[in-house]
Amino acid sequence: MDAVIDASKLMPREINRKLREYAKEYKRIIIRNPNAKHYIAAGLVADVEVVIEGSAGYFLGTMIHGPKILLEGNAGWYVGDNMTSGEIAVKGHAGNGAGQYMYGGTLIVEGDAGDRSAALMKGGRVIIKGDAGLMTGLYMMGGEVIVLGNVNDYAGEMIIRGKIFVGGAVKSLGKNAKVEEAPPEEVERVNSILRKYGLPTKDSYYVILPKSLRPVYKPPSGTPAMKKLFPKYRVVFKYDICIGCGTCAMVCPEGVIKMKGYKPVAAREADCIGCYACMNYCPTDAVKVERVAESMTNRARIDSSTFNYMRQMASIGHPPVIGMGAENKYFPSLDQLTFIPGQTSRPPIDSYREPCDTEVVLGDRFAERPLKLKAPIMIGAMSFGSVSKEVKVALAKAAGRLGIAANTGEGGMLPEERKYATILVVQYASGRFGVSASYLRAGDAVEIKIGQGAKPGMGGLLLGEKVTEDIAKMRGIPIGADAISPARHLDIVGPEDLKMKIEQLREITDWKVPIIVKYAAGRVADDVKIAAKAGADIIVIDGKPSGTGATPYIVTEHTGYATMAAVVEAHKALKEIGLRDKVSLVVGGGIKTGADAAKVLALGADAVMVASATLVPIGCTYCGTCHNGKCPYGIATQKPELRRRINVELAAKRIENYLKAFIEEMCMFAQLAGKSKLSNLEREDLRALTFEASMLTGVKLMGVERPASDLLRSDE
Amino acid sequence: MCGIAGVMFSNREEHVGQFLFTMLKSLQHRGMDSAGVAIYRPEPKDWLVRIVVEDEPEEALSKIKYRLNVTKYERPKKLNDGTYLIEFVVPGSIKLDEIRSVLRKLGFPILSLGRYSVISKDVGLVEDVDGVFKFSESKGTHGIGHVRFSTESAVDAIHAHPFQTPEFPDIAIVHNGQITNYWKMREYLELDGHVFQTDNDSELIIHYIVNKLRKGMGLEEALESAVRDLDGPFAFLISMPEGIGMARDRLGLRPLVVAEGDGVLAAASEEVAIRKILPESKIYYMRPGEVRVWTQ
Ligand code: SF4
Ligand code: SF4
Repeated sequence: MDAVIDASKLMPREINRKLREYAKEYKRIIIRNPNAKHYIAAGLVADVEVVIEGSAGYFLGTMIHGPKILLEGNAGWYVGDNMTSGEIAVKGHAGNGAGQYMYGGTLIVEGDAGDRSAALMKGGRVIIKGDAGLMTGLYMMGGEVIVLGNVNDYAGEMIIRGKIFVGGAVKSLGKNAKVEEAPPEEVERVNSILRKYGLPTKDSYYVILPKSLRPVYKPPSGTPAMKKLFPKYRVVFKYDICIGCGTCAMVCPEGVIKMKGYKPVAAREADCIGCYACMNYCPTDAVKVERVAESMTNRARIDSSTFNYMRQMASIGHPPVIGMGAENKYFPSLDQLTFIPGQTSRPPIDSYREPCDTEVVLGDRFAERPLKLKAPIMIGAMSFGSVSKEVKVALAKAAGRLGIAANTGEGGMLPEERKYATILVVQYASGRFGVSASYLRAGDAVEIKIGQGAKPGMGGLLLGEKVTEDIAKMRGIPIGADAISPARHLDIVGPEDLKMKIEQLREITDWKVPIIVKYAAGRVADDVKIAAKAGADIIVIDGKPSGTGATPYIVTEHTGYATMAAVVEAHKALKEIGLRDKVSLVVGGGIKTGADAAKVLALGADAVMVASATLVPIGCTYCGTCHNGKCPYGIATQKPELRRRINVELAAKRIENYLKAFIEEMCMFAQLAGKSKLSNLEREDLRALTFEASMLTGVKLMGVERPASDLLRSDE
Repeated sequence: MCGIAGVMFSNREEHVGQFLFTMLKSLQHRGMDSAGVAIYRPEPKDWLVRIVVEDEPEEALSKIKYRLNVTKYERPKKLNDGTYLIEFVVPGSIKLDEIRSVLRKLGFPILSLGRYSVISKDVGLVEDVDGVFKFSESKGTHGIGHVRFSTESAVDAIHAHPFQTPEFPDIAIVHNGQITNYWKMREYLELDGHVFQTDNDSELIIHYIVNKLRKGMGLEEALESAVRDLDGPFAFLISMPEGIGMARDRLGLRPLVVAEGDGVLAAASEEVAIRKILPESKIYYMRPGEVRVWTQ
């Protein structure tokens, strides 16, 4: 017997709960009166047949695993989004984004499909009997699309893997796409698939294929590279104590040091990036690396960094990429604020002997299971791919022991990571690498990454050099391809889309865990209000300065919004819409010590996000070669010989020590200011040392005991 | 921002208000901050004016009566945002400039001004707004409606949509999206003599379209030109006494679906809204960059 759901009076949430319940008992479920409702069967993991008698709204069958869905009417946008296995057959037409982000299974559309079908698809199969719209197979990274009708303009735009078979006409091709006549054995294979589904066949097909695996970051070729001219560092050897072991030359990631017999020499000093690996690993301390004063060109006084950079542009022909944060020194620093103590007007608390509460609950607005952190720290997202497995495991272990949150980053989840982290945030970024219903359900919170402070307005970037077999498998992309996430989620273009996205993720996680929205600081007040109204439980703001695994140098140097101004604006924005007590605010960007963190809390955050700084205990020296897999400390690399340099347990212990000290530091500031709880830090505990810091934050300017903005008012 | 809807009956007056109400209700999830509709009648009548005042509505009304030849008026009503709505009628023979300048001097923002059209809008859900205005009972030839998810501007009745500028009464717009080259385009239009009342990008679209119409373009041509010139994600419906025009941005980042049934035409952000009023009709997804014009 079949189960029947009359959806006419049900919310998507109720439909989905019923579906999950019935799927345990019945083999076939019929949904009557779907009335174009959204998220039907979202994240359904079951071996069941679902027949929908009518039209469905957005995100039908998103992230399903296993079920067979038959839709008798039309499907709204994003049908079959991110599905991992199973089958969806749409009798009518489908809106935009059909089969986007798919990993597996089959989607069949018997009518026409809208634009961007199979966008960022990584596996599985999409069959469209009618015509397909613009940009079919946009950014495709795997899988197969069969269109029996025509495809509109820009088919296969920036495709890097997979095939698009077209039975009709191809109006125009996208970048990096080429079209061929499909060979006879492929025609037969396609036809046998179509016969299986009772669809008509054709005698010939065009097939659209990628031209290159790396259309964006082609490995440099042709032009010989221009040498860097100005050294930034001097490498000096003390030959009297050097034992000639050659370690420095072996560990140098840039080939600066060469051995002349048993004598190391700095052959290409200008290439030195100041990673200090030679110093660190030299058994006798016989090598020393010193920063030299910036050189300048004779005329125009161009500094050495810019000049070397311009020569690099001339060598490679696209904007050079670097890792870590910016060199830009002009961003205002939290150092311009200072805490003032309690004395007798309010007594201080003894930080060596008296207690300080550090616990914080984040995200208790709608989620059944908010995050209960032992200290207000979340480790920022760093993906498996950008950093090594050793780093991920060490971070998870340290976070687990401290009771703070770890983050998967955008490259999927390692089983070890889940095992050790007691609180694990799973990131949902625009590339959806490694995303599935089971991935999202394994997390203690889901973080929608809209942006990242170091490269605001750009998507994640993992260069092909670091995409090894493991990484490729986890992300569903080809080995050696660049994993480039789009600048925006293909299905989040505006505020109402964010609201729908949050609802979609809640449907998948059954309203259990908090939904986090992470922004790069920009139009902070507007974005924060939108996320809060869209239903976010937690908002993360990532300001400048901040870290990255790989970003165009020019972008990280010339974009962004200062952390200290961002936190104040975000806090104010939430107050303005009356949701400050409902929505948790987490702020990150350049936080290195307990002082930075305590200041951010005092300015209005509920917790801080720390990312790059947690790599220092593992050995990171902020050299910035994270992007190309040459990290000499085994952190930002996938090369086994470099990864061996990390002892996971020792690294975990050191991260734990560092963060324990960090938490104690935060407490010290709270206590000396007379508070017994970290969460009681407030703006009044701070004074600004500079006019600028006071203007940015509204903190009172030292010496005048008023915010600088007051002084500018004409009537004063 | 938002969900949009529009409906038009060819050459007959029907329950436009009821249709828009049903459509907007099914789009409610796209925005819950405010809602509104603009409804058109086939023939021009006297000026129907709706303004908003913060307090002392009776006094405001008497000030208006003193300065303008008001032939009919309603008792002031309290809006959901706490302000008061004043509605009155001025003879069609009075010049638009006169009404505008009196209201500008008094400092009363205009919520609706027209001889063909009436705008009803306020903060709250569709039902709340209907509770104040009872627009669902209005008849007309065509109309447009909006549910708003506010982004950058204030949340109050005046900032709700449909948007209208007193510069051009009887032209209204509902818009889902942003114009990301707003200041560039505004400068260009200001050089051409357009006066902007707000920083709202919906107002820009109205000015842009009027600018092109004045240069002799037809509405369809003007819309095509808008798609080329305006940057960013958008889908909008613009209504005039003659009918409704619509456009979708070049990259198709905002949705718009239409159904052209028997003597009735409907457009909305999502299929669900059209299914509610025209369950049997064939739904057409507008292509990126596509424009369409429906005239009476
Ligand atoms: S600091 Fe790093 S790049 Fe420079 S010489 Fe030493 S190992 Fe090589
Ligand atoms: S992670 Fe490695 S490559 Fe990146 S800055 Fe740190 S030490 Fe250098």
